[in-house]
Amino acid sequence: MESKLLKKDKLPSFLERLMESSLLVAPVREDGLLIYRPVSSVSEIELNPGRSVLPPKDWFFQQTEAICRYNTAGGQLLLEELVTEKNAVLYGLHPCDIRSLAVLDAVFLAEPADRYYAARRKNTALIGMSCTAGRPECFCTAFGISPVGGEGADIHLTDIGAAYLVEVLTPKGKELAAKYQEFSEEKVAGLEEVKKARKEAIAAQCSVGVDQGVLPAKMAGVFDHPYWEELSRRCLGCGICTYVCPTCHCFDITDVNSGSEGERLRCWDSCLFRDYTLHTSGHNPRHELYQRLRNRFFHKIKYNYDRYGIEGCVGCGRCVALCPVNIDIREVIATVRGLSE
Amino acid sequence: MKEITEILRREAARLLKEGIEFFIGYAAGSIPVSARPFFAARPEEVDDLVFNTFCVHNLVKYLIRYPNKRVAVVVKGCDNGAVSRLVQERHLDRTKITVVGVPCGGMIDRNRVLAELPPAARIEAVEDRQNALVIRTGQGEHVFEKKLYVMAKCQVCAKNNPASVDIMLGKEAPPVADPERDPFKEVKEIEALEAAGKAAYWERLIRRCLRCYACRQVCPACSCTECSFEQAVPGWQQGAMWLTKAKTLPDNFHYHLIRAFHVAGRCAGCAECERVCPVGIPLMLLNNKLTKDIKELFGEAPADACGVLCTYSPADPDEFA
Amino acid sequence: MSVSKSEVMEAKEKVWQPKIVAFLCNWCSYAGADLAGVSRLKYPPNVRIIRVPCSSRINPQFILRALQRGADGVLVAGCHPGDCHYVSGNYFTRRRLLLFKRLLEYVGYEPERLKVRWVSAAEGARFADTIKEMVDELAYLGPNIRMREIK
Repeated sequence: MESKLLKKDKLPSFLERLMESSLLVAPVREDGLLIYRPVSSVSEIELNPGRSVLPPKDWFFQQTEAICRYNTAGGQLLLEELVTEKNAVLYGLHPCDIRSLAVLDAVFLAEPADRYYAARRKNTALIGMSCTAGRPECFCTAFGISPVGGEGADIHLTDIGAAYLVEVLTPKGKELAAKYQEFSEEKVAGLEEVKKARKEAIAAQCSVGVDQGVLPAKMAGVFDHPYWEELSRRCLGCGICTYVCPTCHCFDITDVNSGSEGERLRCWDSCLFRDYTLHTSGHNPRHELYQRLRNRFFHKIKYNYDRYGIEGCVGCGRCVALCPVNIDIREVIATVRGLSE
Repeated sequence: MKEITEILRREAARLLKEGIEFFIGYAAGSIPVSARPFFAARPEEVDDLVFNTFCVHNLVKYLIRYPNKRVAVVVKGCDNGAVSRLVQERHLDRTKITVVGVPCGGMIDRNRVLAELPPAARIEAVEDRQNALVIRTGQGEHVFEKKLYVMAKCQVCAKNNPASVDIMLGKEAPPVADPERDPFKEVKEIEALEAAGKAAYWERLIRRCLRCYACRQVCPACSCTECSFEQAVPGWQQGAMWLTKAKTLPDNFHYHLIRAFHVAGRCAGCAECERVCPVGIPLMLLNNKLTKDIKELFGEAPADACGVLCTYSPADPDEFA
Repeated sequence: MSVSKSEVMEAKEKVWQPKIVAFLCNWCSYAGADLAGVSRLKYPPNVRIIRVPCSSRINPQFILRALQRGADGVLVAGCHPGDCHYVSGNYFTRRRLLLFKRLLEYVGYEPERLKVRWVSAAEGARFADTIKEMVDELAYLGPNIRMREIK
């Protein structure tokens, strides 16, 4: 792992040079909303982004993606699979969102790997950005994520005043850093202490007391507890939490066609929608909202951990901030810990 | 507000002792400057009930989930219209519901208040001082004059004291609305644009939509057991699918325009659709347009229990001759 | 001929022609269109007719989808108010489409793209004139580009 420095005024030119050979996907404020999308100029980028409304998973696992096209005009079948191979750099990911990619990797890259996700993941370099402040809804530290930790990124930037500390963490990151002379090699004294102090300052701003340690084991015993029905009483059954969640990955496949041509689309789906587990027979194992809501929390807190060894929640706080009826996963975690089985 | 909270808890305890299933009201939220819907099921739980300037939610729609149970629900003036709407459309049995009206001093627009605090400010205390909201952070006290920071719907509210309720908590509140404000001002501004300008305006907004359906789920007028946009019956009996789950501009437009049209004439004006939208689409611009046109076109015509489009008058205006 | 038929067809196809989808009620306006045909009245061939029992069968979603999926204009024609075969159907149509037309205009459709007209079974000429009028208006406006589904 190498450490370099990048003077703050050099960041825009670094990003501009990246754009010469790769597609740059960066945080942009559109009509007041922070989202990640491809940019055509550095001036569009919010260089020191807060928390985006939509998580950057959208680049790897798009809300609506055409995965293949067909055409049968002239009696011949033309079938085109649509895999995105272009080189890209995703800039400005916070540690929670970087961790979310590890959660999605466990799902999409397990054999047989999802070709569409895998191609984007392979061809996209990640430049992480440490947080400069914690928000009241944040609780990444509950899952062992450090707000200044770059694990999972190829290059990770931490604001230390007049410059960014640049940690080059992977061979891909090393390749990227080697191309650009904007990085300097100055050693700054006490870097580790600066990072540690920053981490503690931010952690203090985040939610405290969310301890989900024993939960995966505990939850099996509280599956039938009346708590889930009580919690669901105010739930609207919308899809906000699932769509803004960086680790949610359920999808639906749908074909749209007209005449002799058409395409197959993969679209986000929400486990809270009524037809989520509706079978073609008409039977619906999760016909009540409380069953679907319970399923979501079990997935985030238990099933993901049991199956992949990694918690399904990264503590980004988006669902907490945006749920219209204030269903708070931190509260769910705390309550479940206290429930008797 | 304090007296209202005391009366509220007293009445809730009394009703619960009399045997109602739920008292649906509000409790404190887990994030700053917020409240949440709360279902008190036992008299011991009433101490969690509050009423304050963060109680923005329209609780009336929850009543549909308990059609055969005796329930009580707290309503503000803007929520109240939804009760008669759902009763007229036979979703609710009015005799089973106890409507508890609350005099409202206006609801704070949470996003605007939070946007004006210094970035990364830690909110330490929030105090509701009748005409102002005072928020104390690490950087000091921030005072928000309610008149300036209430939600857009409150600024044109003509009914902040709900009528025809079973119980009224406390005495009437003074008017909240700004009498100078035209409720259809923004609608008229859009109407004045050229067709291309209108299209550009709406495309920019509707493009953002995630199709999370929060607007539909929260809306009390959206009470169909089978929504037009859901695949109600799978398999061979499947009807036409108007929409897929794909987020595309045409599908987004189709959803919003038709939902607004289905709600036309039945909209209670609670503006919950706008509040819950995670990407801030000003949906009331669609609903208010329809409300305005209905008033202009059919204002004097007889109303119907199911809304103005379920009836007609031979004297309706006619542009199609 | 000095040019082949296929060359003519190709040339004609290159020049954009407005596409109109017309929803006609069976008892009045469809019969009116039929009368136009029987009377050998000329009107442009740009219209695709869909017969419905009554103009009030028209769900606004039909109109919106037609415009989104390739129609440059939509015509809804029904019996004159008071003459509906089903007594009151067209009164509902009138209310519904007065309101819906305004909504479409509010989101950026030009007013000429949705035309609603009462055409009786005896009004073959009126039907033909309506189509001529609509084709002229749409030719002036150009293709409909709002909210198009690119399938």
